[in-house]
This record gives sequence, C-alpha cells and structure tokens, in this order.
Amino acid sequence: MLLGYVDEKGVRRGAVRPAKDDALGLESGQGSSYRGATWALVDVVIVNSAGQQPWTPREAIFRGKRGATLPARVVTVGNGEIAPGASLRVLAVADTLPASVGEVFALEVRGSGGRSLVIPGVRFTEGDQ
Amino acid sequence: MTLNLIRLPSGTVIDGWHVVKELGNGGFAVVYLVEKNGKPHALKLARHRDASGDEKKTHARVVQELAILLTLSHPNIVSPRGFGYAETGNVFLVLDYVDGWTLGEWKERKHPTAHEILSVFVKLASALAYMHSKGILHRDLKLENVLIRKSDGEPVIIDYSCATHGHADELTDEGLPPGTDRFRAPEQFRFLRAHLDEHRARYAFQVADEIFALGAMLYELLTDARPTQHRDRFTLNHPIAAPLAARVVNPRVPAALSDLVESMLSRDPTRRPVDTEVLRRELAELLEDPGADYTAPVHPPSEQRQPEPAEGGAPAALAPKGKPRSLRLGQLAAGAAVVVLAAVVALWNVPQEAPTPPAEPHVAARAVPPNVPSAPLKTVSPDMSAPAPMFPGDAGTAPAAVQEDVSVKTQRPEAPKQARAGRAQTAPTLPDVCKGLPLVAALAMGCPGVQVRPEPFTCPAGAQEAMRDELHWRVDGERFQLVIDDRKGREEDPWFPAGADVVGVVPKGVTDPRHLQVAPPGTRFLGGKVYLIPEKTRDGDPGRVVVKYDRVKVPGKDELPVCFVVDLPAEAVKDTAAKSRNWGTGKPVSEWP
Ligand SMILES: Nc1ncnc2c1ncn2[C@@H]1O[C@H](COP(=O)(O)OP(=O)(O)O)[C@@H](O)[C@H]1O
Ligand SMILES: [Mg+2]
Repeated sequence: MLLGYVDEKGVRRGAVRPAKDDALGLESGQGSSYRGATWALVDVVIVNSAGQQPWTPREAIFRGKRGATLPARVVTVGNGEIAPGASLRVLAVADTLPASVGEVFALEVRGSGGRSLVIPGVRFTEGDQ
Repeated sequence: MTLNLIRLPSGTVIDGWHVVKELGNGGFAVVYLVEKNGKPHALKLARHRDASGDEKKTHARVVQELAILLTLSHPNIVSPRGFGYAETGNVFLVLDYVDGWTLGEWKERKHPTAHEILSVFVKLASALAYMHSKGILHRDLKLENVLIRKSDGEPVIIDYSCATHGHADELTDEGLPPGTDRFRAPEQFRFLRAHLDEHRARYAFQVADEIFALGAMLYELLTDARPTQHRDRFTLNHPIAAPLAARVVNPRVPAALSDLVESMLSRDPTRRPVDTEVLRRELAELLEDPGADYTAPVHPPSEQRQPEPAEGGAPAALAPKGKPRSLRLGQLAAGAAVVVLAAVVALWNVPQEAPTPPAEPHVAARAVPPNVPSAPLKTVSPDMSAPAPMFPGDAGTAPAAVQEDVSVKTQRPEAPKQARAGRAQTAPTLPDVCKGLPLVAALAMGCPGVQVRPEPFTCPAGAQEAMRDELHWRVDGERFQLVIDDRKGREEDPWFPAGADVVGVVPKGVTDPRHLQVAPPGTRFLGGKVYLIPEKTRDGDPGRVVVKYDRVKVPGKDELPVCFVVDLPAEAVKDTAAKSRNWGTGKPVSEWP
C-alpha cells in the first residue's frame, strides 16, 4: 500500500539528504522525493534515539524557501509509534504540487511530545543521487 | 676480481673494444660506451662470472639477453652486434649504440606533444606486438629502458635482461619474475598475496602485464612534467584503486588518449586491450586524430626543468641520468608550485563555480577538467635533432616544492589519520611524504590512497540477478538502513578515510516490514570501500562520502554478490578523509551514479 504511491509512471524522483536533531533525539536517513502528476511525497526513515520517549509522527509541512507552504499527511505502517532506539519508515505526502518546479523545501515532520524533525534541502525535480 | 673490472676507466680495452665511458650501472651488469674502428657501441658486461658468488645469475642473464636479442630483428628493438668474454671471464654483450635520451629525459627536454608521444608509443606497441608474436616478453618495460635516438627520434627498446621466451628457464627464485615494482600490474600483487606461502609459485606472465607496463609509461609521460625525478608517485598498481584519469591530472591530455591509457591500466586485465597488436591499432587510430589538443606540448615548458644548453655534436654526450634534482632547484621552485597548486584547485572548483547548467549527478562522480590552462602553447618541432629550446627564467620544479609543503602540513592535528587505519592491513598505506598533505597537494602529487572518487559503474549481471532473484530486493527502488562501519557505534560521527575497507550492518530497531523481510537486522554488507567526493554540495556540505559494498550476508542465506551504495553528505573534509555519520540508508543499484 505504501508503494502504491510511487509505482506510477511519470514519477520523478530526487534524493533527500539526512537530517539530525540531537537535542530532540530524532534523526532521518537519506531518503527519496517523488513528484507525481498531482502529488509530491518524501520517503524517509526516522530514528528515535535510545533513551527518548516513544515518538509518533503526526503531520508534516513543506516550507518553501520563498515562503510557499504545502501541508502534508504522514503515512506510516503499524500504529506509527517509534520506540526509543527504533526506526520507522515515514512518508510525507502533499496532495498539492509545488507551484514552482525548482523550489527547495524544508520538510518539518511534527509528532508527539512537541518534538519535530526538520529535513532541509528537499527538491522534487532533480534526479536521484 | 670482479669489483675491479666493473669500474673500468676510459681507455681500457675489453676484447678489442675501447671503453669511452660508463653508460649505466645496474644490479646485473654495467654498460659502457665502447668503440671499435671508430664506431660507437654499447657493451653490457655481466657483474659476475658464471661461478659461485653469482647469486643474481648475472652471467645467465646476459647470456639469455643475448639469446633473446638474437631472435629479434625490429627497428625499435636494440640490435646485438656480438658477445665475448673479458679477461676476467665475465661475459659481455655488444649492442648498437643508441645516442639519445631515455624516454623520461626526452619528455623533459623536448616537451613533446600528445601527437609526438603517441607516435613513439605506436612504434613501441608495434615492437611489442612483433616480439609477443614470437612468444617473447620484455618484463621490465619502463621509461629508462626505452631510448629515443637523437638523430631520427626513433624509440628503441633496450634491456632484455628480464625478458623471457616460452622455453627459457626462470632466473629468479622469488614468487614473481624480475621487473620493476612500479610497473607491475596489480594482479601480480594479488597473486603474490594469495601465494605468500608458495615460495616457488610461478607467475605466468601475460601480455596483459606488458600492456599495463606500457600504459604506466604512457601515463607518466602524460601526467608528469618531470618523470625522471625521484619522488613518491601515485601507486599505479594499487589492487583496487585506479589512478586518477590522466586527463584529470593533466587537462591537456586529449580525452580519447586518456581513456585508452585508463583501459591499459585497468585493474582487470581482461579489460585491457586484448593484445599488443590491438593496442597498436588503437594507438594508431588516435594518431590520426587531427584534434588541436594533440599538437600542443602535454606540459607547458614552464612546468618542466630548464633544458641544459644545447649539446655539441659529440656522440658521447649523453645527459646525466635520473639523479635527484639539486636542492637549489627545489628552493627556487616555491613560486612555481603555488601556480601548479592553484591550477589544481581550479580543477576542483570549476565544475561548481562556473555558471554551469544544472548539475547532473554524473558531474559529481567524475571530475570534469576545465579547458587547457592559458599558459602559452608552444609547438615543438618533431625533429629530434633540433636543439632543445631554452626558456630562460622559468625553471619550475613543482613537486619538490610540494614536498616542502609537506613538512609544514604534517604538524596539523592528527584526527583524520587515526581514523585512517582501515580494516586490518588492507587499507592503502601512504608514503610518508603523502601523509598530512592537503587534499589538493596530495592529488597534485598523485599520492596513493588518494583515489578518492568513486568511478561510475554498472552492476555486474550476476549481482543484479542475485539482488533480484535471491534477495528479492527492488534494485534502484528501495533503501535499507545500516551502520556503515560496524567497528564504530551507530551514534558516532567517525572520520572515513578514502580507500578504507568497511563492513556495514543493519541495526536493531528496524520496523519496516519489508525491510525486516529482505534485509533484517544483522544483515551484513561486505566488501565496503570508502570514497570521497571533495566537492561542496548544493546544500553547502563540504563533500560527500560514498561507500560501495559488493557482497551481502543476510542471516540464514548464503553470501551473495550485490551492488549496494551509501552516499551521504560529509560534515567535514580534511586531507583524504571525511567526517560523516555512521548511520544512514543505502540502496541496491544497477548502476551508479
Ligand atoms: N644500446 C645502448 N645504447 C645506448 N645506451 C645504452 C644502450 N644499452 C644500455 N644503455 C644505457 O645503459 C643503461 C643500462 O642498460 P640496461 O640494458 O638497461 O641495463 P640494466 O639491466 O643494468 O638496467 C640504460 O639505461 C642506458 O642508459
Ligand atoms: Mg635497464
């Protein structure tokens, strides 16, 4: 089901750089961005550091460098909770497309306990690295 | 006594040959310029008689050299004129005298163009094809063993003291035949390592080795302005790390020529030109290339040493051989070195600083050399008899000055070097002179271990099949998380030295069902090799770390070949190492980038 989004034809894929927030104990690995005909999504793995509270991502938002924002849904498997020391694959799905093709976004994934992770440098246009 | 004999003063007569002077003095033999009836010849005298005390079998070598030369007749192979015994009983061999320069000296004096270098190598390849067709291998091809005759510019291969034909007895007890380490093909070292215990294991030399050696010679002429200088150079035969493409080191090298040299130096002998006849044809095809880049000297004279004053007509006036350059020159050269380094820096920076079209991923993987630097080009006449041109005031010796740089830089913090010790002994070791060099200088010097950049590659069919059919991975379509170097903690941010060997492992805590199914925790990624792309990324990172793994061990399954790549931004780059986190995601790929 997760992959239903990305198996379509005409999807453009890009690379998403890893991000880390030591203070909040959240970290993401290199991921991928996809841009379909009517949607855009980012696919990353997020780790909740050992010793932290369990964390559940709830919603996401893409913030463009030039002020544009795209609200996004968070899609995960299971109940979406990440135990301390565990990781979870998280999709952030925007059902609207970025207005300008070259826009660079920071993806903010907001979750429980007021903790969130910001993943900068997200693009939907360029080839995967 | 033998010792007295090998230091023959001028005027000595050996069996009717009048000694004029010593030409060369190697481990097995001494070569003299001699005359008979007013005609010059070269006389090669074995160090020892055929008796006890001749551990190096110098007698047998000279005899074998003679025997082999007698079967050969080619304009680019030295001709034997006779042999005999000195009064002491040492055997000697008389050769046509080649009044000229070694290939390295020729390069430094004549500033040849790519076209001129190619025309020499077409002839060398044709001489090799000729002798290979007779089953004869030279086995010590190097710049010193090819002379360029002054009178007509013809190259002549000399020194068949390591040569062999199909039936020759081996003259060495070592695992490998004689030869010069720098020009040995990498598979020979692999062989040695695999047979450390089998002392007498014989290595069947192949034509591929000669092609490698010829490629190494060509590479040096194209990339090194001063090939006769004694100093540390890039290991050409590192078992894994190929040297930077000639064109990356020296942007003046035409692309097609650089590619051909790269194929000659391929780590995999099967990817070299199949034989010397094919090689000759490929070189000859390039020689037809009318491109303008073939008619400019491959190194501007300012990068080379100032030629000595033109010589008089005396046939005996051979230049002194590859002695280390004087200190004075090294000191003079500081200014020139700055220029050279600046050029190298420019080489790295141009691809991202120029107002280029949007960066293709491909650009990041391969340095794209800028166009030929603006130093004035001067075409040198192919007429070898012309006196070497003089360029007053530009005696540059960049490498010597770079070494001065070394002593300064080695006082820098040691952090990256501690991390440099790769897995066991397999990480490339750097010559001292290379340690602590700033990256650009290390690259300028061609230090080993600085093979930092990953080469683009296509995943072998076997590995693609294993990933698809055995592992059920979605090649190019999914990522798995891993700890990149299993010797370090998941939370660490270690320094990754380029060239280090690492093993990756899937950590605990994975929850994604598919990941758990096809690459569960404990899955080990083997054969990992660290590379570095020391270019600022678009997001402002100082570079990227790329790790390529070539095998995987999934718990409960056999080890399988894969192509698995991790590519992550570096937090810091220093020398030839980069600091990065030790956890990330990688992907199975069919090609990279
Ligand atoms: N036929 C020749 N004409 C001119 N110089 C020669 C000739 N043969 C050898 N030499 C000089 O003597 C040096 C040593 O000769 P070589 O045959 O290579 O002996 P070695 O086995 O000691 O290396 C050469 O590098 C070259 O400078
Ligand atoms: Mg020699």
